[in-house]
Amino acid sequence: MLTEKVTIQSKKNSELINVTDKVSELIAKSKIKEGFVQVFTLHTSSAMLINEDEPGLEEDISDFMLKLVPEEGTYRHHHFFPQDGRPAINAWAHIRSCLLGSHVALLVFNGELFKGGRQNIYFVELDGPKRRSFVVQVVGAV
Amino acid sequence: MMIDFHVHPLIDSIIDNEGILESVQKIFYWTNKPEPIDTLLSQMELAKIDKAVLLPIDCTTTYGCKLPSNEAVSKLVNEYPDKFVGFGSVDPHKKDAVKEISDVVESMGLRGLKLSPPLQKFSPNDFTLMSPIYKKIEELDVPVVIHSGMFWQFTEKLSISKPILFDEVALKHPNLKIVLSHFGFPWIWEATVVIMKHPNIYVDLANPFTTTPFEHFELIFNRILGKRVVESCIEKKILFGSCFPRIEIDKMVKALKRLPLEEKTINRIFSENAKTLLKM
Repeated sequence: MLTEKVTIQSKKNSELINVTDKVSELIAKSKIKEGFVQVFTLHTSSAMLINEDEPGLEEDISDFMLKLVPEEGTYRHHHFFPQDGRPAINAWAHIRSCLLGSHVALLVFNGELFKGGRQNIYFVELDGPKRRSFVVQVVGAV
Repeated sequence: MMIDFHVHPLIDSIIDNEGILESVQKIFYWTNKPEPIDTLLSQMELAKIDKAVLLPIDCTTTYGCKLPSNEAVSKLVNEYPDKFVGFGSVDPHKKDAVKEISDVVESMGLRGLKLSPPLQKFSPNDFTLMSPIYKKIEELDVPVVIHSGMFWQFTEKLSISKPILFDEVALKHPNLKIVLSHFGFPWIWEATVVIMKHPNIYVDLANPFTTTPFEHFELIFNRILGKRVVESCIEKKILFGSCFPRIEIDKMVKALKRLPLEEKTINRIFSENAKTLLKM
């Protein structure tokens, strides 16, 4: 089994970041030939997703989430939190994260990701730009 | 050129180098994980902020820390001269505070000062302590950003940050250029009369203390003051400030742009007033 935290830097408010190569690299490092890999985001205002690597589609998904959960609105979460030293102004990001999910799981076969040709793993930034982390865990037989 | 007049340079590399994580958490009340310089630069780029004014706070006597040091600010400005304008901070309780102000401006090249009554534990109208400091800043002809309004330090009285205290400060030091941060919230009318009366006092808009940035600005500009008062009486005395890292810069910028204020007024708040104060 291999468990590793990966840190990335987002540059936009809402952004899909393709992390497939990084996950493949960690599968190779684990030397696991057959099993599965789970990828978890460590933030409740981000998500993990599997979809096609096409820039137009990445924008479509981001834009659709903006329309589905609008930023303008009366959210109870939006107020100052003295214990954090800051206001929370991102209820919409948390709700989008609920809809997209916080993890993905894929199969590992012959030491590689067993996935469709167009399937890619994305870290979904929903309240950037920020430094973000996700955890990759590869489990199976060497 | 858009200027953010209120950025705390508490990024991870500075916090690590200066060993101030515990102070940032317990004194500055910032408990989120510190972000890297890339996050600050990306937030500025996204918000179309060209320059950010970096504000440290020297709490040596009160808490034994600097949040962060003037040297850290100076180094960051030297690394990113196009992005940052550095201010310094001095501990008003130090015996050599006046000399240090000269060093900060004349030797380090920092372009203003930052003071915080709640964190540095002083009252702005304690003239025995503060007059030599105000006088030196006045002589150097640089602005000083002073915390006013709401704060969360449970050990201090809110009354030390009331905007009306600066009426007396300005009477004694009429050439001192003061920026009252946070618009003195919740004492908005107090701050307004002070900036209307005194030509050298300004306010910044940092940190939405109530709900969202838009709702907070809407409360101040529409429901408390009203569009006419803002546009006719104080549009040249308001500076945009975010309060990074307490809030994402682009959320503050977007909120201000949504207000139904004249474009000319918005431009003054984002750009012209800060340029005048910084002599740019």
